Amino acid sequence: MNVIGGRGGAIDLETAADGPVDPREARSAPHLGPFCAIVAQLGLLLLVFRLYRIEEPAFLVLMCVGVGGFAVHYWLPFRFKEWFWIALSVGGAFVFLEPLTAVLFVGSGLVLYAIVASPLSFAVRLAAVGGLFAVMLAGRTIGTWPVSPRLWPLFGAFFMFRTIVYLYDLAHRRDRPALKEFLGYFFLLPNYYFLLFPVIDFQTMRRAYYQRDGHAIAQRGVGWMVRGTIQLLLYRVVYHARGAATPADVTSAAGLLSVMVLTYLLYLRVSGQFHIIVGFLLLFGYDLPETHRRYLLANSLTDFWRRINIYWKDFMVKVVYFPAYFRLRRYGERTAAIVATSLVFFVTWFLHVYQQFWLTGRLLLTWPDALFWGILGLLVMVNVRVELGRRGPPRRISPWTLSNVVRIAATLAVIVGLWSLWSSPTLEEWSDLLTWWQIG
Amino acid sequence: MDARIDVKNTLRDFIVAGYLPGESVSNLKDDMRLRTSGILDSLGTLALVSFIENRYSIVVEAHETGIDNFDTISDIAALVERKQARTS
Repeated sequence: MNVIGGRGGAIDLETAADGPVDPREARSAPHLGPFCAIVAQLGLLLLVFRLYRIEEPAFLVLMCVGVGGFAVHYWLPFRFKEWFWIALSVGGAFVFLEPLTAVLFVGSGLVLYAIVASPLSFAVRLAAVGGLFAVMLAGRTIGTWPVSPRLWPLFGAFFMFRTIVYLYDLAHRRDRPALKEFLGYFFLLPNYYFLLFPVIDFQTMRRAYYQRDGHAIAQRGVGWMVRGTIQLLLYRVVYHARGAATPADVTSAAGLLSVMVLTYLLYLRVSGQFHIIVGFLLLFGYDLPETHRRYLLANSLTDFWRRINIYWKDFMVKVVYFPAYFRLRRYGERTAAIVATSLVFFVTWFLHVYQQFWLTGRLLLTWPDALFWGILGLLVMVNVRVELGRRGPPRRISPWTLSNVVRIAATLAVIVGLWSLWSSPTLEEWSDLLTWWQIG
Repeated sequence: MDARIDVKNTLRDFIVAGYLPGESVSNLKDDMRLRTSGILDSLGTLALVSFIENRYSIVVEAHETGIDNFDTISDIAALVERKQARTS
């Protein structure tokens, strides 16, 4: 067996009479029937987006470009598919941005590639990347440079987290980063519209590329886009039900509970968007895993952490938890796990502030935010301690037993409470929310 | 090749006993995704790391627990084989 090695995993080539054959070529082979079925579904989705005015108008532009792009991409020979995706994604800059901003944006990405692909030592490349980010952060902070203010949040959205993942993988590779893989990873078309974006893992993305039948991948993508659309529609109901509730609007315990639950359910917008984003990428052959796994049915806080925004959890496990654990394990398994877990939540809080700065230009240093991550981290640590102390295989809990329903309800109650804290701009406002209905 | 099959079977037994109670060992295929499917969470991965380190007298680094090396039984067995070859 011949093997294509390197980044993203080995692809076993089958040997044919003419030489090695990439199995992904067969998996991406076009067939008219399945193509028509997928395009019909996408057409219906576009109709729903249009009729129900899902998201802003630019979203419909993105989806039309995506569906059109899929239709072309589908019929291309395999060796051109990923280059077409890259061209579509890089070209998206010129659709969604003014020309000069698009040039600066794409140019900054190419500067990043020039740094990471240079023959310099990893430490020097890391410092140079830091320098590039320092320049961009300075631009974000100062805000008076003669460039469009849209450049900064877009640069942040595309590069702030994926650069961390990419550099982590690069640190352990000896070969030179390939331009195609770099561009395919960093320039993701949906990111022009969705600045809040799942942290896609580089290795996972490379490995997942046409890892099974292309029609099955695309169909799953359509399914997730449908799921995301339903969640966005539900979000709209929740948003209107909640309204602009202030503490003064809460006049009873039931009203308080209603506001708190509805505040938590506003998260449907994020999970809906993430489903659409990843579903979109599946259309182009990237068989990525799900981003959320029925988080409303979490039966413990650790379970919640593992179900909600799975990509973030995996990102933290990869670049924070495992490196910390492996360094600390000489002090004992439990100590390593607990310290590593606390570090994860501290870094999550920090990166949340970092992300907000890129996207809004403001530093989100508030007590509700810090307390939310701190308390959640503490509770997850306790959970981890309990899990480590448990002997034997994990109990398979049937989801609908009374005890599990009680656990789900209890977990939901804690999350709803914490979420209301997180959603309050200040501790005083959160306190008012909890107590106004009693004291008036 | 026999050694790799032994490693795969040992891994399969460990994973089924620890993380898929009640499941048949033969249902856990070599190419089944363990991490990305949710069979192995982070604590499960660390337990597996500890198991193979003790069983095969190797040391696994943090960066070797990524998707490339630690998502399927085949990949983990290949990692064990590479590490054993380096230390022997």
